[in-house]
Amino acid sequence: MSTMIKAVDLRKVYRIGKEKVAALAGIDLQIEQGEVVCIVGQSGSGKSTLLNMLAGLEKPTRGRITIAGKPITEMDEDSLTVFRQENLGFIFQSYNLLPRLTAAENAALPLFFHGIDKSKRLKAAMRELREMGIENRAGHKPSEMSGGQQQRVAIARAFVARPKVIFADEPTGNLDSETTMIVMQTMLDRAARYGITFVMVTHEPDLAFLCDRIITLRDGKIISDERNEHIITEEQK
Amino acid sequence: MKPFDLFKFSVDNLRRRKGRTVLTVVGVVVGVCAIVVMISLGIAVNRAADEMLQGWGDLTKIEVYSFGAQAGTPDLDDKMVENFRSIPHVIAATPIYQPTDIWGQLASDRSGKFISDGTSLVGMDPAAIELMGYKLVTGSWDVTAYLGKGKIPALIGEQVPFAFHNPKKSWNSPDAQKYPQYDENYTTIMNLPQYDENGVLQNPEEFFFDVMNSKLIYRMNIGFDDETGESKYQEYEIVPVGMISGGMNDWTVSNGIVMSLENVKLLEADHKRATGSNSGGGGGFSTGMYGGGDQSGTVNVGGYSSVYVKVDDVKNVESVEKALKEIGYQIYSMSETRKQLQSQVAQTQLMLGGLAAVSLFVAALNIMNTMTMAITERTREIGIMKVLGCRLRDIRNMFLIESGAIGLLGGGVGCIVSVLISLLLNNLTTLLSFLGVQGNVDIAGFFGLSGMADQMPGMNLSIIPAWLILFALAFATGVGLISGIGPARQATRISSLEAIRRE
Repeated sequence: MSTMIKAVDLRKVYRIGKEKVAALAGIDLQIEQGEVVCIVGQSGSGKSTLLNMLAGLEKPTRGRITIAGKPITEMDEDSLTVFRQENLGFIFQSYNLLPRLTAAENAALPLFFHGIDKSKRLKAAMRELREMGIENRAGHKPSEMSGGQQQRVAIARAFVARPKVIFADEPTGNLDSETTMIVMQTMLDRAARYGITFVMVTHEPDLAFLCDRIITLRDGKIISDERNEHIITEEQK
Repeated sequence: MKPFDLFKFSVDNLRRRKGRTVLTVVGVVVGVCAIVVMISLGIAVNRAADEMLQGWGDLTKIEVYSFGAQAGTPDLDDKMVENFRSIPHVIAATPIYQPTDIWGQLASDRSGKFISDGTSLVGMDPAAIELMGYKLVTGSWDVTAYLGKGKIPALIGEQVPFAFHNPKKSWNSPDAQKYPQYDENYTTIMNLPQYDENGVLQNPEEFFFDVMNSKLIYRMNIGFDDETGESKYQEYEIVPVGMISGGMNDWTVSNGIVMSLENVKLLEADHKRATGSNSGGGGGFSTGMYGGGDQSGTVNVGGYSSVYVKVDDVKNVESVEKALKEIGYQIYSMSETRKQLQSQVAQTQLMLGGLAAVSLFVAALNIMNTMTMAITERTREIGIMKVLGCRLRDIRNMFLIESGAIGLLGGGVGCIVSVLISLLLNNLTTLLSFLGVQGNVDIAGFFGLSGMADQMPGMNLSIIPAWLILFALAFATGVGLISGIGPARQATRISSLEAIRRE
């Protein structure tokens, strides 16, 4: 297994008025290809900041991040955008679908930005929607769908371009518990099937136990980083 | 992103906000209309002014004189005329040769029933006469035809018929002469001879006889009889091959007997032989008179006293004039006058154009406002697009296409509306008369050329050429794009993280 994400001495300091608040206080982290990692912590622990930084959405105050060997902390915004387009997928708590596009068009967005032909990209989007079991909603706008359906479209969107890494920020935060489990299972199954590295932030311990590795943050520091025994035993069977 | 996808995405954005898009486009339409209509008025006034000047004189004709030249200027002779022909854009050049020492009468026939005194002979290069832009009233241009010994082919100036008088009547008798009748502005003669295509005079009651169908006799004065003291004449038969019109401005041609340069020179030689005079070319062809000049230091050079140069197009007159002045000659043309008229129109046009530009500027601000609002509204959308890997240049182009499309759309509709306004203006007199209002609309007066509407009752108030439409479209699109630059850059600077955090 090769290293997919590597973070060295990651720090982020916010200025609130005259006071400086350290959101991340020196984080070293290495994530292997295909790993399913969960970052947990209380609100304010810096877990979302860490995720945003790993995804190249936020610049660290100090430190260095490489993804697939590329130093993303040294890229300018445009190359970072292209890098995201080619290597990363995203799933958000609030789905973040474009309200004026249909489910299929939303799912096809990364390919759209990549300049793929309309027929090709919609075909790929339909395949993803089928996998997520919402093929019949393909022509609907987000406002015509339930939260669970919207999040499935968002997941289809994250997978459609077969990225190297998918970042998910509280992906089930707005869903009821039954839907949560189904959505989680589908996401993780599909990441495993395509060998996609999956990094998720959550505050629900139940969900964390579905992952290979759980990293716990408090006050901007990693206080524990452990393998999930349950999964390991499953694998060892 | 594929260009087509980008374009469609932008247009969809505009369609989604129909109301706002329409209002913004209306702003551009008003601005474009103002500019196009203002320019079209100027074009129309300029064109009318040109037409008016054409009536005053040929704009493409330059007169070159032997007097008033710079010291050291070569003679205005045949060689020089040949030189003139080789100047770019010159289509013809000919001397206007009037040997002033020849004096004579033109008679309607051998018996001298009607006589014209002092009719002037005008020698011109036969190949150049037609090219000079004169009008042929009837007949042909052919002044080189051989019609028999002693018969000289000639073009008769259209005002020549008015020069004859009846020598049997006393001078103050009303029947002694037929007179031209002018219009109220003294710009046109109303009763000029008119011929049908068969060469039949249509208004014979205006004249003593039909000049064109007569054997005219030129009686050249060759001195006085020693015994009786009466004038002695040598007679030549002048055969009219055509009637020529130089309009009201080329008096020499309209009132002269135009023949080939060669024939005039032969007559001159005859005259010299008969009189034994050795006075030389007189005012027609002279040797130089250097040193006789005035205070300005100019000189009179030898050769023809005046030469006409015809240029292919009005716009090339200036360059030909420059070439002629560089040789050293004094020249005259209508284009000077035209330039003054045009600069006057241009000034007014500039002022009106400035006013129109203000309204387009307001439209530009409007576009900026619309685009800024669109970006504020779409912050979240832009953020999501950035996160998902939409490149900055695609985001920027998306907004530029939107603002450019607003400009183009406004330009297109603006042009259509302008054409309608133009139609309305050009038919204003008719429309007004339906409402019971009489009279012309004096747009030209607005441009400082008052009275033109009266002189040119049929003139168009507004002319929109194709280039103006293209210019308006390009300009409106340009204004749209420029107004979009700021907002588009603002869009690319939106922080994707901030944007997606918004709920």
